[in-house]
This record gives sequence, C-alpha cells and structure tokens, in this order.
Amino acid sequence: MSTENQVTYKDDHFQTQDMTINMGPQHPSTHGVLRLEIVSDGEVIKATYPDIGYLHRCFEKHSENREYLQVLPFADRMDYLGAMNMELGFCLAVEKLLAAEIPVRAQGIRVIVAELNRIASHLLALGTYALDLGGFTPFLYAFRDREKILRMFEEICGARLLYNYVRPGGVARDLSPGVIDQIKDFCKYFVPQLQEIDELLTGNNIFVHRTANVGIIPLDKAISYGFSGPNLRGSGIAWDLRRAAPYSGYEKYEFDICYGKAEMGTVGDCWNRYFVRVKEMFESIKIIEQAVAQLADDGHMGRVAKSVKPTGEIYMDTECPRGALGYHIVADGSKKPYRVKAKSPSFISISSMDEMCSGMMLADVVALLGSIDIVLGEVDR
Amino acid sequence: MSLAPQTSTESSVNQTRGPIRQWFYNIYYTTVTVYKGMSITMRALMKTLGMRKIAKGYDYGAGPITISYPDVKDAIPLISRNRLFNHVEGCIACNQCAVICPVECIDISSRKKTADEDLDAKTPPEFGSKPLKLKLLKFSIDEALCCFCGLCTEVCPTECLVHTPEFEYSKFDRDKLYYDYLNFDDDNPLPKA
Amino acid sequence: MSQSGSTSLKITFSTEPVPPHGIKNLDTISIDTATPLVIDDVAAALKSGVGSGSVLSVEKAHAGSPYILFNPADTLAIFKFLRDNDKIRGIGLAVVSAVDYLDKNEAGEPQEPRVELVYVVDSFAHKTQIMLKAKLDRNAPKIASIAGIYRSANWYERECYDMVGVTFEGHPNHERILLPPDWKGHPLRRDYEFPEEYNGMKVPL
Repeated sequence: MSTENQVTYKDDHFQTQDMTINMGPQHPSTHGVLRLEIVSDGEVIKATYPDIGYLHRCFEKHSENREYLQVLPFADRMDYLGAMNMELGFCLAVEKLLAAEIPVRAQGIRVIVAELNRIASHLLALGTYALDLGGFTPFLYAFRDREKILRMFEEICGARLLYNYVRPGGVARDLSPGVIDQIKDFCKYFVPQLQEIDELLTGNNIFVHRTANVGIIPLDKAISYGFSGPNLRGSGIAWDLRRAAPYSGYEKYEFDICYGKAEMGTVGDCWNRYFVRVKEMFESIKIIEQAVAQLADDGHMGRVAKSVKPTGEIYMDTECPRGALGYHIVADGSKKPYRVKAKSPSFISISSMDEMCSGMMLADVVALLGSIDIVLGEVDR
Repeated sequence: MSLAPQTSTESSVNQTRGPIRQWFYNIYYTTVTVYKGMSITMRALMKTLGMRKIAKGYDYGAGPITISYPDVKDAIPLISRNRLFNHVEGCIACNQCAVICPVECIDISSRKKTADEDLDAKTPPEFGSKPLKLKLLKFSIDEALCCFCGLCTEVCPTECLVHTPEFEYSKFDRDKLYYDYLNFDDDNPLPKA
Repeated sequence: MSQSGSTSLKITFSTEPVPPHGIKNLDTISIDTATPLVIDDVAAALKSGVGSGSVLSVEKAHAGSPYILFNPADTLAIFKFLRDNDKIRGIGLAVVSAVDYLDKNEAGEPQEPRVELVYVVDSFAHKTQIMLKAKLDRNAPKIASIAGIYRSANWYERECYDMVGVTFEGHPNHERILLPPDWKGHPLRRDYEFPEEYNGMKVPL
C-alpha cells in the first residue's frame, strides 16, 4: 500500500481483483449437490453461475424404455421430499389421456396424502432454512413432527419417503381405519406444534433482520422467470393451481390462498416466501380435515389396467410443495411412453440466481437459497 | 392464526422511527423475541424432564422424544417395504417379477420339467396350490439394486415374493448383497460366499 | 498482479427489460371467475396480429392438450404478440420441450422425421395454458431463442440443446447445462448410442 500521509481511496491505489468463490457441490447450505461459481468484489457479489447436473439420473431417457407403471418409481425420485405430488401429477396426466374415471374415495385419499406430503416438505424447508441461518432449535422440532407424518405414510403404503402409492386409476391400497384415526389425531397434534415453531422463528428479530428485505424478487421478474407456487405467491399474487385448475376433487374443499402481504419486510423478499409456507401448512391441515370427513365409499382403484396404453399428447401441471410441476407426456399407444418431460419448479428457481444475486452480500446467498426451497433431485432429474 | 405481527408498525425492519429510537427499539424487540424463543425451549426441556405438556386441549405426554436406538427399537408396520424374501417352494417361475422390476434386479432362469420329474407337483396350500410346471434353476435378487418399489410383490401370483420389515442388513461388500434364494443354509438367505 | 478494476463479466441472462406483469389487481386476480381462452380464438388473433403464415394449423383431434402448429420463422414475433397482447396476456412460459422423431416409429411404420419443439404459454388472467409446436429439420434443428421475451426460456432452451441438440439463435449463454461440457452427443435423440467410456471411466449400462 502507499506510504504517503494522505490516503486516497482511489481505485488505482488499491489493486483490486474480483474473487471467484466456489460454493461447491458439497456444501451444507445448498440443499443438495449444487455448485455456485460466485464472482464477487469482496463481499458484494457481481455474478453467480450455477452449475447443475451432479444429480442427473436420466429420468427422461429411462422413461422411454419402461412401462408407465415402472416409470412411477422413477418419478418419485425426482422431488424426493414431495414424492406423492410427483406421482399424482404423472397419474393425472396419464388418466387425462385415457379419459379414465377415478373413484371419489381414491381422489380423497390422494388429496390427503398429497397435503400430508406438502406439510412434511414445508417442515423440512423451514427446519433447514433456520439451520442455514444459524438457528438450530427449529430444525429438530420440525423433524419431530415430520417423523409423525413419515410413520403414518409407512402405515399407509409401506415406505417412508418414496412411496409408489398413487397409481393410474387410483391408489395402490386403501386406508385402514386405524390410519384414518391417526390422521385425525395428527391434525389436532400438529396445530399447536406449528404455532410453536412459528413463534420461534417468524417474529424473531434476528431471523427478521437476516431475511426481510433480502433477495427481493419483484412480481414482473418472478412471472417472467416462470416462478410458481410459494415463490410466486411470496411476490404478492394469489395464484394457486389447486384453485385455478382444480384436480382430484380440490374444488370441494375450502381453503385460502396464502400470499405475501409484507407483514414484515417487502413483498417478494425471503421473509415473505418463508411466511407463505408457514401459512400454507395451516391451510393444508384444514384441507386434510375436510377430506377425511368427506371420504366416500366407492373403492380405491378405478377400472384401469395395470399396463395402460394411452395415446395423445398432454402437458399438465399440478401444485407441488415447490411450485408447479408439469409433465409433458407424448404417448403413442404402446405400453411405454414415447417421451416424458418433467418441468420442475426448482430448475427455474435456480436459473434466477444470477440476476437476483448481483448486488447482494455473500451471506445473503444462503438466505436466498433457503427461501426459494430447491431440491436438486428435481432440478437435475 | 399465526402469531406474526399483523401490522407493520410492530415490524422492526420497516422503520418509520428516527435512528436512535430505532436502535433502542431493536434492542427491546430482540430481547422480547429471544425471550419468547427461549421460553419455548425451556418448556420443551420441562417436558423432557417429566412435566406433562398439554396445549390447546391435546395431551403431548411427558418424557423425551428420542429413543435410544439400537437398544430400544421402534415397531415398524408389517407392510413396510424393506428386504425382499422369496419362498422358493411357492415360486412357479412365471417371470412376472423380473419383467415388472424397473431396475431389472431379479435374475430368474427355469426350464421345462423332464419326464422323470414330478409333473403333478403343486405349491403348498399357503401359496395357492398352483401347479408347478417349470423347474426353477436360479432365483437371485441383487438387493443393492432393488429400489423397494413393491411392484414385484404385487404381481406375484402365489405371493411367495414378499417384502419383510428387515432393514438392518448392511454389508461391507456390495457383492454380499446379491442374494441367491435357492442356496441358503438358514432362515435368512445368505449368499454362498 | 497488476490487474485492477473488474474483469469483463460473462452475462448469462438476456438484458432485455421485463415488461410489467400485466395483472391488473395485484392482490387477487379473479381466480374463481376468470374465463378461459379458446385455442381457436388464440390462433385467429395470432393470424391477424402476426401474419397469416405464422399459424400453420390447430390440432385438436388427439387426446390431451390441443396445440397450435406455428411457423418457426415467426417465433420472436409470435411470442412477443402472445406476451404483450391485452386479450391473451400470456405472460409466463411454462416449459420448452423437444421431442425427436425418427423416420420410422416404434412399431416400424414410417413417419415424418423431425424434431418438434413444444412451448406452453401460461396466461394467469385467463387461467389457460396455450401449447404451441414447431417442427424443425432433424439434421440441423435451429430456431430463434426467446430468452429475451421470457426469462424462463433461458434454461429450458439450454436443456433442449443439451438433450436433443437444437440450436437457439441469439441465446445469451448457449452451453450444456445438465451434462458435462465435454460430453459428446445428445442423449434424448432416438438413435443415440451410449458411449463406451467417458474420460477413461466406463459408462455403466
């Protein structure tokens, strides 16, 4: 540095250089194997280049060589935290091509398991988000409640995380009365626990300062980037596919659409996206209670063969915990699909990182990544 | 329903106060919210130490949530899909499980029975007394590849292929997870090596 | 090091400005009472707004989603029209997907060899999704990139390039996305042969 008495902060005295920091594929806060190449001027970020593909398991190529029923376990494994919703989207697309009738009880069971899975997924999102920002307590509280849900799933279909339960035509097995009692009990158990986690995090000044006014995604950019689900609702628009294009009987249930209203911070920041997820969990409990009360009696599987042979082409999306998951299925009348393309919401959320991260500080990248709730399984497929 | 402040005047971030007032408000608000958080943690500690927790009419019980696995094990449901087991006396070698497996982990080979083998044999009654037309030569499952989807157990016509709730079967070598169900010497099928 | 100031940054997203979101009421759109669009009306609006040669046909006969077959030469004009038109307000792009068809299908019957690009445009105000398709030459599939019109097209088009080999002219960052940058071939082509080895590692099958 210069040894003159006057220190002038001009750029040509300091030989500055941009740093390239690698937030590598092994990192506790990237929620999977995501590599971010960050070019920064000290602490302030200039550009972010996400590098994905570490978890690419060739779902689309596999599904060209397997029957529809065999594609379902592969579809589970894309967003492994919301597997029921993945299967539900695929089965709904196939059933639309077949124009099949699904019994009302099967639709109700599908709604129950999809909403339970949504709660489990949001609990994990909140727990790990708090963990990334340094709050260790809500993580285990969230996982304690999530464990109850996973045990219920094990009683329903035999597996905790990757279910293979929703099939074209209905569901694989019926719910036993013991499980229905457990679900009703869970709804009563969960609401005070969620209020506790909410009290721990939502108003906590440290959490608020870390997340409010950070990572603001304005609504026009959010729509142009193709955001959907809680990320889009956090930017202020009340758009929910369960109300806009209802599937599987959602039109029978009453629930509010939760969107960002800026109780803290500004609309479109990390805090609002987080709070939308918390409110959504309360709404999911409402839906589950209504669905259990309205369960019909007409069987759990419709008249659909095990090896289905649809024809046609369809694109259909459903509301998954992370956004709108769409399947573009091209079917040629044989037992195997011609092409299955899965459009995943996390793919889009990561693609916005470059534009959103410029001007932020490095610690805020962690806050932004946790709030957009990505799962690399569905990014890379 | 949620406890977050509903108006933005309680927010400490959207500031409409002067800087010095905001500084003191920050300290006050942080203390209040951290106190709320710590009191929740204290209540959880009380529950673990034995004080019964009852909130909003629901009884959460008393005592810790964690169980000391492996000394104490939780009961898992019988339909839990873990390691596969095949009762080979009930297998009619129809190949349905190998065909439907999405990852092709089942190896079956069989041949037609010759004249001196018992052509009228049937599977035991608990597997449906189905006629055994083929001789099963090889039935092995590579459990390292199995994705536990349960499709093979659904299509088996005699229900001899079942998922057991057994999940503690890790080995140090991947080849040891290749289970040959025709060659084992006790109740749990072990590979011959 | 005598490197001072900043090096030139690689810009990976289109710098065209994003138009306003086109939703009149920010708090609630009329999600329960909006009227859906009919695909014939959309096709008619496109023909009058962009040009009569832009829409080749409207296919509704098959099971599933009806789609508009459009002329690839008019891509930029069509999507700008769909986005900016007040009656359609297709402000979101849901997916860009590429499908490869050989000259014989799976059953052995002859079919037109082509690469089809499928675009799905979302209109929130009308609760409708409009599917559009373009047929491209299989040997050298090329189309204009709409990454400047919809920001979401950026990564979708990169994936189509990576998997099927479609070239998008004008894309700000035309690189492979899921596969490593030195991978050879485009896997989702129907005549793709798996390589024996990649950088000395055997490729398992």
